[in-house]
Amino acid sequence: MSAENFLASLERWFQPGGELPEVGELRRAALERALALGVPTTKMERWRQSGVEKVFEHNYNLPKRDRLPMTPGRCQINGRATTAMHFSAGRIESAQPLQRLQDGVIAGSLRAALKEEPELVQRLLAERGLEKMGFFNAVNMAFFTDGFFLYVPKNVVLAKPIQVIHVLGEYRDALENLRNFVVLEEGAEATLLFCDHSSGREYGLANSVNQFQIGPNAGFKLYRVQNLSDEAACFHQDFFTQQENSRLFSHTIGFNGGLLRGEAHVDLQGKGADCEFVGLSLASRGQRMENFVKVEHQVPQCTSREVFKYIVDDYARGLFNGHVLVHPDAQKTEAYQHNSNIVLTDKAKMSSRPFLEIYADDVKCSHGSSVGQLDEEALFYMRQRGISEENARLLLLYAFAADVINQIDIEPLRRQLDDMVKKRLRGELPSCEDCVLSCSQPEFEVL
Amino acid sequence: MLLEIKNLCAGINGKEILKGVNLQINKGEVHAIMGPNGTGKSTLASIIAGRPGYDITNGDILLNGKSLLGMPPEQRAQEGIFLGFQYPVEIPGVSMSSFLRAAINETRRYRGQLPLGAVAFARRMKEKEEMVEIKAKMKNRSVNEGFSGGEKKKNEIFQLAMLEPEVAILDETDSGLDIDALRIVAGGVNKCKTAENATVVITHYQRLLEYIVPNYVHILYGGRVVKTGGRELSLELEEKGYDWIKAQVEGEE
Ligand SMILES: Nc1ncnc2c1ncn2[C@@H]1O[C@H](COP(=O)(O)OP(=O)(O)OP(=O)(O)O)[C@@H](O)[C@H]1O
Ligand SMILES: [Mg+2]
Repeated sequence: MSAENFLASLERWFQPGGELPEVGELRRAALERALALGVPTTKMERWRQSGVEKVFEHNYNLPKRDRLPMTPGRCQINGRATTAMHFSAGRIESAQPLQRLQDGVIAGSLRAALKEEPELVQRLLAERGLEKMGFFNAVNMAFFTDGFFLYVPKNVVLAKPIQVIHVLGEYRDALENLRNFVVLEEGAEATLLFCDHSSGREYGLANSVNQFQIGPNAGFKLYRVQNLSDEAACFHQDFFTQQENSRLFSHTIGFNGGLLRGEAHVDLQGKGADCEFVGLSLASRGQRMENFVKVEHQVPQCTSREVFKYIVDDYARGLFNGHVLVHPDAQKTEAYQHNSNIVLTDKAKMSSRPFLEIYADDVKCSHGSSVGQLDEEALFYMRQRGISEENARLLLLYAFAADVINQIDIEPLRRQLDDMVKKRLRGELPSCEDCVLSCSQPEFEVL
Repeated sequence: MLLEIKNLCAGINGKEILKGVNLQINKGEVHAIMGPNGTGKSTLASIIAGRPGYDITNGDILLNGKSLLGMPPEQRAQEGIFLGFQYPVEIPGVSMSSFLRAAINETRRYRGQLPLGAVAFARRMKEKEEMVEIKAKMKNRSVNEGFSGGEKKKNEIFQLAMLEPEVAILDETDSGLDIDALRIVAGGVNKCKTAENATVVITHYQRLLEYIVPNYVHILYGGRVVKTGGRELSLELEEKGYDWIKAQVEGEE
């Protein structure tokens, strides 16, 4: 497979009036956009040092309509702490694809929402102009099969976090495009948990595009757990727009996956909006983990904070690419950007590129990054007390990761992720016991 | 014999530091090692504890007749060696209790004992706090993080009490302590003493030895133990300094 073949298969797959004819026009325009753009290369600024080129080595299959979705077992956090929605083979699995929850909240399948709320959804889909769309976004628009849809009306607080579980298909060279939409009206509040998994050991690419509209005074928390096989690739592009005094908290843990790339594009459009990004990436073997974050301060008095941590082991590669852009009008901006990394071997590699671009004069901005090994003095100190080298390393790595884990405010999730991080650091893949994929009983003690 | 150091020769980065150290330490004894700056006291302590990076060119270190030289530092600790660091290390993010619990339980596993559970561990912490009169206010804080110099030294003694080693080597545990802290630290060390273990204190000052009374005082100079005496040797050093020792050694050569 090559870039040309990939483009050719896009043309071949495209069926006018096929899936979701409601958005047929938009899809055709998106396809043309993708073909015109061509596949991204690492020569482009946005993709520098990325592993994106590997993606074009495969001959993809779109999910088949008649394919039976696999049923993952019950996830342990769901039920207790969340309402769960499962997506696999590119579709929601639910007898009731679109649910009307409390106080006018609508949640479920984008497909179903397109049928039941055509005006709202078509407007949302068309809202971001095609002219800004990047390649994977356009591909997604042309071929998305479903996605998660959430609408929270004015001043409504979503009672329970919603957990959106996406399992990348069991078939070879799957390409799954999900398009997720979240709209929080003024004063609304919601928490989401996105879990990304893969079911088999086959290569596949999950290409998700997520649009989040956060209204004035609204508050949104997004947790993301990525735990895929070493073969799988998972791309997320998050587009956030934030209105006056809205709050966003985005928390991502990349546990495992062949190529995990998260992009966040944040538009701070209303005065006093605040966003915070926290990320932890645990890359080992030949894995590649990438975060690209672009925050645009358009208006005065907005605040943004980013803290991304990586532990890069074996011959894995990590990439952090952070860009804060402060427009001339955005006085009194406060922006903080930090990336700290532990690189455990000579072959592991971390590229850290924090970047501030500031056109306003009354701002408080800072950025920094560090790349280091484990502290040898601390290791000897611990070993001198009788702690084996292996466990001393674990304790130090866990200490590095713990402050990210401790920022999770859904307690069962925090406990579970804490346990998963410990297992991951011990070199056990946190695979679940009573679920084919999931994430194991919390157990205690690092050692 | 508990600890025996035989003709130990060692260096680092091609520099020869220890040039044939001999020491014999029995159960129930307290030994003091004194000597001018840069003569290899900390080096000797580090090598006994197994700090990586040194070249051992000759000699041996035996604990209960077993050579320590081939063992990694954690195994030496589990065999019963404790080093009180001249400069204790800060470990951000690792709590005192998880650190100590890991240390104790790995040592217990090595010795074929069952691990201490949470309750027993908490009881042990409390008991030892009382014994050495050092409040582990630090329990839930990260190991040594943000501790003052004196607090770090006290914390070393608290760890000593928790771990109950056979040989405690305390490298300048008295440096940087105020008068009250010195008394507390020395008192803690004394309370950890039994007929079954031994203590080696490395110090520059006679004052510590007023509290921790040594059976033997050794002078390390030029990478060798050049003189061994009783308690009175430290008094003599206090009075006369090291010049007479240096003169004596050079005279012999
Ligand atoms: N990593 C190293 N590389 C080279 N030389 C070293 C190294 N570590 C120590 N030394 C040297 O070895 C000698 C002994 O150092 P050591 O720290 O053991 O002395 P000390 O007796 O403990 O001194 P003090 O009383 O000042 O604590 C010194 O000359 C020191 O400079
Ligand atoms: Mg010293």
